[in-house]
Amino acid sequence: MNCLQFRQLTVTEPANREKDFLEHQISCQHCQAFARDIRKFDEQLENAAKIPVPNDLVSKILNRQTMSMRRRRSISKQLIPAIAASIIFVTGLTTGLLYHSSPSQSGVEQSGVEQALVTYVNNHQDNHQSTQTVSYTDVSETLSPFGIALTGDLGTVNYAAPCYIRNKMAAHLVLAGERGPVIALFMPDEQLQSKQIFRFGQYIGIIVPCPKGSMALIGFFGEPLADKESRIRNSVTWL
Amino acid sequence: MSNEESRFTALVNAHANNLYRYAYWLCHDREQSNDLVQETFARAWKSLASLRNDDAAKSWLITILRREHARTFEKKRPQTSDLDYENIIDPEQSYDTSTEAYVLRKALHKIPNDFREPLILQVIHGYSCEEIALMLELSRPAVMTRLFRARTFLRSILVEQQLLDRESA
Repeated sequence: MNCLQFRQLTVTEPANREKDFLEHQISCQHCQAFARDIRKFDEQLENAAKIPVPNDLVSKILNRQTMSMRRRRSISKQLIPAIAASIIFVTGLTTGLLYHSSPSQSGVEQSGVEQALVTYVNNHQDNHQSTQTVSYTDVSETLSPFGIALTGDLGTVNYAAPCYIRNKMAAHLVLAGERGPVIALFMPDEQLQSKQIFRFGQYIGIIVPCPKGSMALIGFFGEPLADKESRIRNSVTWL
Repeated sequence: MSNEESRFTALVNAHANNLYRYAYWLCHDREQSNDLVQETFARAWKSLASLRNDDAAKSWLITILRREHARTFEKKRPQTSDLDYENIIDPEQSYDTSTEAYVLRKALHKIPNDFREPLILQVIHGYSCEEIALMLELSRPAVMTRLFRARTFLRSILVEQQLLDRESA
């Protein structure tokens, strides 16, 4: 190794331990001094780059992890006593007709869920404007605490997170639709008895009871929610 | 505390600080650095089972952080200056307040991220050129070129500052 090669390598990798490098360093005093100079510079660089770290960084990370574990344990406890995650699907309609459920379902109960969904959607507009794509893994992890296994392709998902509907935990997804975002809410603790279609503002929504829970699909008026319903049915499994 | 929780706690204690520093030199913002590190460990917790060897934890965490940064924060990178730190120095943490350190930090903010990132991985985290090449998905010669150019640039800035100091002395 000549001096030029040594110096180039020193600037690139001051802590180099290759045999040729070390031998040249021992044999050439000028290069030895050069290497010493570079290492001193590196010490200055390291000290400069080691900026202070927030004192509460570690505790915040651990607290977040603890809260996450507690939330999962709480969801599991809710699922065990016979209300597992269920999805209410409503066949998508484009005519915008609004009708209510059969007489077997308590009108008060259904209207309560419907009103809660309307309030929730109106209060969480920001979540529905997201353009970032959520990965398959993240969607799966959002649904799994509710006893829903993601087994297929839901299409583009722009938002996935747990939420509260009527003080009960639910899974909230936002899917890309033809007319705009389609909100899918999986509610394990809402056991509705019949299909329901409702409309508010510029939205149309459907709620469908399922063997394990219920789910609402909400999109802009004219959105073919039937397609979304079908795709979701083919892409998830209730455990 | 379960074994998993103990393992996770050990990882956080061992790597959070340097991960924060790495995040800072990626995004130049303290708040975003905090968020990045929080999100990185949240994802690490979820996929802890996939980490077979704790010796590889540091590079695993850095990879998660880089992806999270690319996914979420790169679009909203602010222009920030060293003044962010100059005003909030915690006397209990050692922090180099010399002129040379100030000049180097300013220069570090200015060099392109492509050059800064391998340098930070080498200087703060002690990775070799081969390891950096693997993590950044570059060839070893590319990494070496970037390190050479980054260090040369920073040295020239420091030498220039030292000359100015002598002249004004």
